[in-house]
Amino acid sequence: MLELDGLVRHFDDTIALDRLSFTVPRGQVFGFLGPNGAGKSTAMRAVMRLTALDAGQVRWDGATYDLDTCRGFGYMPEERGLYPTMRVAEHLQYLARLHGLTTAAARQRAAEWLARLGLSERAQDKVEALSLGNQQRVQLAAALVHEPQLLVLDEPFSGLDPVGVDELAGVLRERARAGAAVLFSSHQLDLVEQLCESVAIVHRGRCVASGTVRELGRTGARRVEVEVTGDPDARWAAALHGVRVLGTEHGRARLVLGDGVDPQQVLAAAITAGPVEHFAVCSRRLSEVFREAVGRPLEDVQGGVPR
Amino acid sequence: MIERRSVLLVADRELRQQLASKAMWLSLAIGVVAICLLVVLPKTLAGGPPTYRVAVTGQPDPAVRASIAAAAATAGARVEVFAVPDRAAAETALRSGDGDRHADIAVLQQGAGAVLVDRAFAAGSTQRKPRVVAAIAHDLAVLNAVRQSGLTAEQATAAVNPAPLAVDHLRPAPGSDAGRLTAFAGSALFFLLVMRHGFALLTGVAQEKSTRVVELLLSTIRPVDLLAGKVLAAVGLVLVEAALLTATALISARAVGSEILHGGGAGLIVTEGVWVVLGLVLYAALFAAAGAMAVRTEEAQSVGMPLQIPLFLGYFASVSALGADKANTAVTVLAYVPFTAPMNMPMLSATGGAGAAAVAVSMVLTAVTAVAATWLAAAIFRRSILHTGQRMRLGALLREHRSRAAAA
Repeated sequence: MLELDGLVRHFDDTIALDRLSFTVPRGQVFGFLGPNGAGKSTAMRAVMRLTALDAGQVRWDGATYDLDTCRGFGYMPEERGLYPTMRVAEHLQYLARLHGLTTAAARQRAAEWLARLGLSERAQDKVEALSLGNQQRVQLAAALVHEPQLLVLDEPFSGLDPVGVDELAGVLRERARAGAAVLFSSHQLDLVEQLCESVAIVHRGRCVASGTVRELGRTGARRVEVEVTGDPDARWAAALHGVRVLGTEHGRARLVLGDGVDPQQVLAAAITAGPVEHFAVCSRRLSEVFREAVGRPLEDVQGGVPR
Repeated sequence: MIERRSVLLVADRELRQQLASKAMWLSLAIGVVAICLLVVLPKTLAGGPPTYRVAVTGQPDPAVRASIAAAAATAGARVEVFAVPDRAAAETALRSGDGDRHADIAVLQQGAGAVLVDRAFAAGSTQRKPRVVAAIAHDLAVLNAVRQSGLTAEQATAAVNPAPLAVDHLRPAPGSDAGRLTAFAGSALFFLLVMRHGFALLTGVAQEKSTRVVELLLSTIRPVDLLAGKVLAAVGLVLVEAALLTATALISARAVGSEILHGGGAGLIVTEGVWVVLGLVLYAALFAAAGAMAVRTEEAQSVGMPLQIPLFLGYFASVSALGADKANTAVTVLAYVPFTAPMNMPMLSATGGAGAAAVAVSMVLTAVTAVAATWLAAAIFRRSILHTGQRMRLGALLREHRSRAAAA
């Protein structure tokens, strides 16, 4: 289990991490969310011991760790870093050996991962000869080649085509099933919602929400989704007291119910407006959780599930 | 302490990358060709000492032939003496072009004797031929004077060609031209290799930093191991390259019988090798640290600029001592300054300005400075390699290093 406990990091007058805390259990794919400049990359670099902390601790399986332990982690930095003139297979073998593998094991694992990612035929090409998508695959292979127990991936999905996204999602799930803790950052909230069991949302260096995707969805004001034939814009709902129309999608309106508003009253109002094709009480989407969490003043939030 | 496995892995990658680089092989090939040309061309173009054809009227006796040959030798020339019947024939020979009947100088034996040339020499000429002619005229005059004193032909010959007196000395020779040339060759080689490999290190580190490869590396190894691996690879490559270029110079010099490297015995080559290693360790870590300070690859060259100053200073000082019998003040001082000693102490030594003890002192000074510079470079490298954003000034880096070291 990875624990970030009260991390503080200043850069001159800017505070990048402000008592940031959350936990990533083994066996889970964990989403790390936040607006640009929120401190995600700094936190990930702190996990990989690449930036000094002014305060706080990062623990793995209950203890702080040294470089030897860190060598067993897999890391993909936000700005992709590979030697452009090195050959793909040679590059992977080099990184695998730096992670502690023997020459023979490094060669074997590099070949396996290249085959898995469909890059076997490009093994002897220079990295710079690959497309950006394929370079990203090599970067992913570099993070996975030593089968790490903790994967720390900064924006791993950015720049990937849909096939690449599915491929990467499959790999992350597989690593989690094998018992690894997988922490990744992303701005693709729908993808994170599908892929992750838990997330942490960071804003201005502080954790403003964390927990399972299900828990976070259940908190806050209730939502209903209604489809009334002939009224795709949900004009009927505009007049309802304590009800706010969040938006419409495929003819269905998504409504936020204020305190004390009964969903049955809303259903009754919908029926009076026309034939109701669909009515469901539903959870907050992750994108809604995110917008609400980062939109609120910091004084209103604290670590953990938002109040 | 450095971690051996990580250091060797880094060094291995660096070596492979360099060996796979066309630029490296091209520059090595250019170096080999340039050295061959430098050794072979002067020998080929200069040839041996010039030979002058000397026509002598009448029948020149052995004493005359010996005097003409000895006089020419003192002026750095050889002669081919042949007989002509009279002055008219001698003049014809002087005026004729190349060929068996041509003469460069004529000796007239009739009467008091005279030396004849086709065209008068310009006043104050520094050419070799006027010196040869003057020497022949002088020596034949001495021979005539001795003969007129009543000695036999054998006595006269012995009197004008005596065995020279022994020449003794109070102090040893200041060093031969060949010794200075060898020392200069070492300085030039050091300068070129450090400049090339130093800047290769500088840009390599700056690229690793700007492409963020360094984040992958430093999540598995310590900065000091990364630095040590890079320096190790650079030193290894430079030694192999220096050995290859030295061997090229020695083999080509032997092939054409050049004296250009006769000043360098095995001892001097080993000493030069030690200087190359010491100097490279001193510079390599600092070049790498400069690369780590650069925020962008394009900025690396300007960050490394201050390191070029002592290199150029040392190189030009050694050039200035090349043609002098005694080392000048600049070479004498710079031979003890660690950043310039690898280029100037061999020159000072070759000109007789420094004995074995002085060389040892300078080497120790350079070695101690190399250790201190490596420590400093490691501190700078550690603080700056992961630093992004605006470039940190050297003072700020060192202050931060000291405050963190104190806190630890």
